[in-house]
Amino acid sequence: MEIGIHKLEPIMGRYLNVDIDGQKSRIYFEESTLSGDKAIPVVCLHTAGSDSSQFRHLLVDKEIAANFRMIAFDMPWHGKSLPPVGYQDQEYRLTTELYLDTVDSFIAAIGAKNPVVMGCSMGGRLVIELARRYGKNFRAVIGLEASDYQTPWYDTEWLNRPDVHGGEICSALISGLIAPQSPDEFRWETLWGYLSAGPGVFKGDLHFYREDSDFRDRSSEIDTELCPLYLLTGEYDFSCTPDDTKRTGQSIPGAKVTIMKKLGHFPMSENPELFRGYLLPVLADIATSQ
Amino acid sequence: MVDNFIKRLPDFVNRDAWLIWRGRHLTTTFLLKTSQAEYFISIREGEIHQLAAGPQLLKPSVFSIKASDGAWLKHWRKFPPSGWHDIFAMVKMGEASIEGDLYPMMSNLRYIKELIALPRKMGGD
Repeated sequence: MEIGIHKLEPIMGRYLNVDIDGQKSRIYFEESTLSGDKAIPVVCLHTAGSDSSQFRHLLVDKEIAANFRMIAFDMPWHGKSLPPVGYQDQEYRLTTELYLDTVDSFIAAIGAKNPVVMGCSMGGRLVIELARRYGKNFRAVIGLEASDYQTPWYDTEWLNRPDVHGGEICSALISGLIAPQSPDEFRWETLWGYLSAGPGVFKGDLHFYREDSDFRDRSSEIDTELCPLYLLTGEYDFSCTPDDTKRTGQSIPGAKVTIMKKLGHFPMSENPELFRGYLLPVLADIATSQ
Repeated sequence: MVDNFIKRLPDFVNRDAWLIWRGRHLTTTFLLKTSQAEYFISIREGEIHQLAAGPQLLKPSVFSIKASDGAWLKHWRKFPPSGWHDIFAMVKMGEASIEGDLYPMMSNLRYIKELIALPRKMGGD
């Protein structure tokens, strides 16, 4: 990977107007311009409370682009995607159904056929349900920092209240999920996603993550022959712990689990060079399988 | 050893201009507890105004952070082992506890986390 060498990066960003759950949504997405027409689309789902820029290093990776077309979008409320009209009089609360509808609507709108979906954290949780319900539609799914359930570790009421700075507390809370070995430059870039997010967005995402996505009673239904499932978790992730991922993998026949050394909860953004060493073999496996 | 690290905290905090700046809105007293000891750390606008070994009768504190000597020493390594690298990871594992009125801590969370991790810069390895 050639980090930071491009004066003009091979990434194209655009806006897409699409209906999600009956509401018009203006979605920002970006994709690598390095890929050819036959490249396998990979739709990337960012973590709760952040945005698609977490995947920027993968979008400029020539080796990945040889076989894959990397695409990342900002969920509504996140990054450069707008919240729905009337957001000022509602509390954002992501649910499993809304999240599934968002991803399905986006994939349909960009016309990606039989894509790989790779999600991190809450995105990793979602790909487990995507594989269970709609596995035949996907070439494979990759869950980063993913499990079918994990134990909460703080009270989300702290995340959105007028007497506590939302960006400061969200970033300070999740800062410990980054591995201590990760380079400072990328640690702070990762934290900027949380420092700069809209009020209540992280908390609203966690409604899905904590309240509406305990998939322990159904994850074993995934047919990994139909939709291969890869789970990769950093050893320093104490939110979705390696044990959470291993337990999930053990309950899904055929799931392939990798525990990543010296990485935390944001592998693609906190230490992109180290992470690609774990991701490339997974992508090679997907490229060579039918 | 743990106590020596804690006793050097005022010196390390009070010469760190950016840390003081981050804590400029914080004035509070909290307890830092180890296996056998406890220390009242009084902060005034980001500087450690006083470090006092406890117990001290009727001396109030707003919140407390407690871990064993072994847990603190792991937390203070340059590259702590997984689980001891963050105070909330330690709480989740049962290796630390945080009690009391958490508002001063949560509203100045980066400052507090950086303050209690400062012994990493004292040669904790």
